[in-house]
Amino acid sequence: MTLVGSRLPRIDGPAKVRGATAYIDDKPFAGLYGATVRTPIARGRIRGIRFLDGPDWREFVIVTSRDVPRFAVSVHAPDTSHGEAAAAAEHVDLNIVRLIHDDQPYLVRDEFRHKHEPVVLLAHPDRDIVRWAATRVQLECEPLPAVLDYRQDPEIAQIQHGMDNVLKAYTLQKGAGENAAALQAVFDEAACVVEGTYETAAQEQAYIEPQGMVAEVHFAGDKPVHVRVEGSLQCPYYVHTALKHLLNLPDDAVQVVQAPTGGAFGGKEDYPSILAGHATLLALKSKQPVKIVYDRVEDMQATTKRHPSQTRIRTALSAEGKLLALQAQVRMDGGAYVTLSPVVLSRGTIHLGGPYDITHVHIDAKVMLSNTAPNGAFRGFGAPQTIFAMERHLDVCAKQLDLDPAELRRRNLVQRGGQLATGQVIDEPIQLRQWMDATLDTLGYADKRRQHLHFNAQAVQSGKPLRRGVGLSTFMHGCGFTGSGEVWLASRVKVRVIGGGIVEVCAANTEMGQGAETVFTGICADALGLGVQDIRVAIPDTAQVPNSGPTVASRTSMVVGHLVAKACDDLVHKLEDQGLLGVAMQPAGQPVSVQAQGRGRRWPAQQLREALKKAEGLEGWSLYEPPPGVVWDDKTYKGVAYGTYAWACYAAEVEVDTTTCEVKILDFVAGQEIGRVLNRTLAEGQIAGGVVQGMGWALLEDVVRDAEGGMANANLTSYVIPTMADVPKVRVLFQEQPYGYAPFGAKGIGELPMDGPAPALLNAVAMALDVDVASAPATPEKLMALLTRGTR
Amino acid sequence: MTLLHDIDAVRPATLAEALDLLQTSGAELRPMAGCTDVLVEAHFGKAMPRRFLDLTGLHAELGGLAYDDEGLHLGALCTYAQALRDPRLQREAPALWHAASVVGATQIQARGTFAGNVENASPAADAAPVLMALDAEVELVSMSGLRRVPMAQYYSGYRQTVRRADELIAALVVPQRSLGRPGQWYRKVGTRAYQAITKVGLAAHLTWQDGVVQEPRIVAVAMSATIKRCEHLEALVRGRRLEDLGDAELRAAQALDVQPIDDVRSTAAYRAEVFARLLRQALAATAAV
Amino acid sequence: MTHRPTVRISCTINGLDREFKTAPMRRLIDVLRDDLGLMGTKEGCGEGECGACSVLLDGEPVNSCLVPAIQAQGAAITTIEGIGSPELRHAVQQAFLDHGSAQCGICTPGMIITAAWMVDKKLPPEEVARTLAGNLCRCTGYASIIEAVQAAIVAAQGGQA
Repeated sequence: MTLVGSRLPRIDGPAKVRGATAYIDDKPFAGLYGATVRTPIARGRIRGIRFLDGPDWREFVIVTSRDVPRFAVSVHAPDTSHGEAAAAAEHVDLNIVRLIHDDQPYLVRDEFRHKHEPVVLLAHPDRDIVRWAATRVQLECEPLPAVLDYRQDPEIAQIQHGMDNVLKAYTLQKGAGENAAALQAVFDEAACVVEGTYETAAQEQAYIEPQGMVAEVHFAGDKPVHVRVEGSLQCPYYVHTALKHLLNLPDDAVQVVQAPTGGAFGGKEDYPSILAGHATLLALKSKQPVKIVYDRVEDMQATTKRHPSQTRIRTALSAEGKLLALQAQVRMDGGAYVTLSPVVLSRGTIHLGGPYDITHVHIDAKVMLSNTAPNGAFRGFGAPQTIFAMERHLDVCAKQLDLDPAELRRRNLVQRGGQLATGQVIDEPIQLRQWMDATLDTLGYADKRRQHLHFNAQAVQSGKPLRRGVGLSTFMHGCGFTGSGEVWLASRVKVRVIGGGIVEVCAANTEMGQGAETVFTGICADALGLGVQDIRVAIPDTAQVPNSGPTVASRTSMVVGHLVAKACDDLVHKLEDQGLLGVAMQPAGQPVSVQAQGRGRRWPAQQLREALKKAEGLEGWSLYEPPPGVVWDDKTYKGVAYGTYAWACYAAEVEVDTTTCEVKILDFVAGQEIGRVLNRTLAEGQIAGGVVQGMGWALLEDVVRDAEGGMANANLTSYVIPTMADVPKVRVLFQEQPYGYAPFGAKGIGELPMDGPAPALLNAVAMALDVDVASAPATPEKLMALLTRGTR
Repeated sequence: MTLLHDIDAVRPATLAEALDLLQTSGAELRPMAGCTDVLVEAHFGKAMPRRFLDLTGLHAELGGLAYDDEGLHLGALCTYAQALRDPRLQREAPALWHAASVVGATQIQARGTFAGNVENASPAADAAPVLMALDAEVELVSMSGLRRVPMAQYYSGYRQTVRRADELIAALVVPQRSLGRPGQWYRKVGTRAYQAITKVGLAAHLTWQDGVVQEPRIVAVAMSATIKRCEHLEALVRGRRLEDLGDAELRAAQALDVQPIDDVRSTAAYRAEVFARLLRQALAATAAV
Repeated sequence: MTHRPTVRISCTINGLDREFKTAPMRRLIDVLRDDLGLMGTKEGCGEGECGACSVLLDGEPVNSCLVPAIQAQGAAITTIEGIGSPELRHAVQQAFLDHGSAQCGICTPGMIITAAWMVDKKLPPEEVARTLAGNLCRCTGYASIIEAVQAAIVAAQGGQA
């Protein structure tokens, strides 16, 4: 096998270590540079736009919302796919960023809802001059009452969405959770009831490559007939959908190409549609190619962040620590527009219940509008927030019951045949207790817990400043889109034979560092029984590749990789049908892959290569089919939310210097069951990278707001992400329980490592300091305030 | 916001040339060396001068570090990296060496200068506080000659120094009496381990004799509009025994010396609390030697 | 009409003598990328925090976003294009490939500049994290980078990785 279980080196590695990979700002470009003028306050109406002295405005191309038709006749059929009211074909305002709900404009027309909302676009041949010129445009605004704290219910004057600023709400209930009185009865009778409120802050993706996009428009006379955009992005078809509506052009008139992308983590899932729209509007008006690349400050101020959250949890437990009931209210901050909030909240709601079998559950979740830049996707997508709350809460419960937190989990982890909070029965052969023990044993959790309790007692007595602690979290992450989301996506993949018998994988999923290109290469090679040199992966270009869905939701290897393998099977099937292959020989002793039939592996590689050389242009296709039994009810929030989950236990050891309350992470073990390790190096890299982002979120990273809700620390000096000197080497363990509907059994792992670090670390800090730290980030300032509270 | 491509710069080959330029046009000329502050300011749109005076051609006259009977002379162009490679500095001015090692990271240390740090006058400065605690003097040179200003008198206000427009820092001089003496202490509490701005810091030089503090120097960092000597604290601890110094009196003196603020990096409450604890640490650590 | 200042700069870049005219306070990163077509050096922040723009200036790693062009006069500059060659990689580049230390790759050029410097200067392997702290990475969690650089240092000193 080339890929599975290997440490196959990255296909894109050699170019990257030479600095030869051309990101969007590296590619040859001749055209204009764009800049954006943004609102200065949290909410209001634009009363005037003044172009101040300094720039020679004749040198600039200027675009405002007036350049975007307000009452167009759409060339597209009304889109009913989201279940929202179908848009009429006439009187369509093109100035809407199509995603889930039609509320966000590309450019403010009149009323705006957040600081740094885009109003005016400028283009000029000189990149420095256009940035400077953007500071010379003054927006006159009439302020309106803004809501900046999502935790408070809004006043009437602050209502901007629906009747109550609730962008989306869900209720998840199970057992007595379906009836308030019955649920209360469970609490009344329980031996132990524990309540807590947990908060998490916004988090900036901080990909090292800022967002950037190039747009080119081709005209027939004055009419645009083709638009090509290329840029740093995760989901070319999302951008394609957004642009075709903005420009009111047919599907094949819009082409979106992904450039090598320097990190994304969800931050380049939906925002690039806006950036592409801006670049295209300028290219349309100027009739020249336009490039917009954000500098770090603008990127941080204007683009999406992780949703802040506040979760109230109340649990009823037996005297032995068995969870009987879970009641929770989740509140998230969606920012000014809906964007992806319904899906973020969904994932958060479903994951709150954790890998525990709890009979009675009632969760009310809502995401609120606030007059801040809209929040969006960031690795984990709602789950880290609620998992943080639940896992912190369980430690609080353990403390109340005088139980080791690991033991409390041992008594509650779901087993095969048990149910998650959605009622989903787990029929995988999971061994969560065993896998938890593997993590804990690797850390030395039991010994360290004992030693550190003793160490802390001594330190308190002798007045020494250091304290130590260990903490854990147990959790799962659903792979792929929720419920019937994958069916709705209807992903398609093709593999085609290009010159020289090379097989090219054509999918819309993007390489952004996680190794997708290498994984697809390896899956294809293994499905065909060929080598890496026989395979290419096409650049994700909507003119060349079918829509295999977005690169999000931990779906690329598991869902799309599976489709790659099946497309390879289809290709071989066609070769066989065309008689290009001789008599099939069953190779002796070849391992049969778990799910991908590996039809190609029935043929000796050389024979297959010969056949491919004669089959240039031949294509193999696959279309997504759901695994049996994935039935999910969106209205009741019950059923099989995900076909499978990756399961994990993370454990941390920390040392806190109470002089300053700085937290040093001494050790960290990330143990997870992920179906099948496709490539050990890539998988370890994903886990280690996600864990360190989680460490940042737990201890360092905070989005500080100014009086207008804008990001006050919008630079890498003041928004603090971990350096190499801030984190230990993360120790990674894998368990494998192959999943039947995945390539070679591999589950998704992209987001999983984001869920566990924050609660594990804060649980360790809570043990070290003997305080109930309930919000992340646990900055030294916060910890010091907790320690000194009541003593001064 | 001045565009970088509109700003001029001149790079004299000799110190005399530089001083002559400063004499004639000092008001609109700004000296630059490592640029680790200057270009960051430009990036964030701060006001820029019309012209910069690039000092990096003057290594012969302003570079390096040297020792003599007077003490340690850090040339204006001496970088942190150069200082870190000096074993004698590590031995005789360990707090200064430590301060240099926690400025930024490798790339900043390769370019940043002690003189630049002093002149930049940030309230959260890295090496400058230690220089102040060690009684260093700023040697200023101009066409009119040389003068020395003690670090303790170098700052006249928020981001303001007493350097005249026609002057350059020639060197920073750490007196012999401060070198090789025990009792040097520096701790920077930053936003993270490296590449960090100081949130609260303390540089001290505390010599003990017979269990009693002799000539205390206590410098507060990021606790005020400038780095500064804490005169009330120094007066309080002078001649006192460690075990006699009570928390309440220390905090009261601290409150007279420094009134920290909330900002994007930290809070007043945290800064005040941690500074008090750092002081305790500094006293205990230096007394124990 | 403002007259833009210019200076003539002579320096060596990746071992080759180069001469160019530019505004004295333009950033070295812009000269490298926009004037000389050396796109390997990346801008991640513009404020000297991320290190993606690292180059060697007279033998030391610096942030090229914080070097004004006038200071390139007479200097020896090495960019990522000057580290190793397509035929023969620097030990650190090979180690990065072996250990999977490049993911999205945007921090990689700057990281390799500093790492190659460490190897060539024979700095101690236990200093890797501290020395590379000025090169931020958001993808890898750093472990694979530290392993690669340590392995390259040890190998260069003739030891076992």
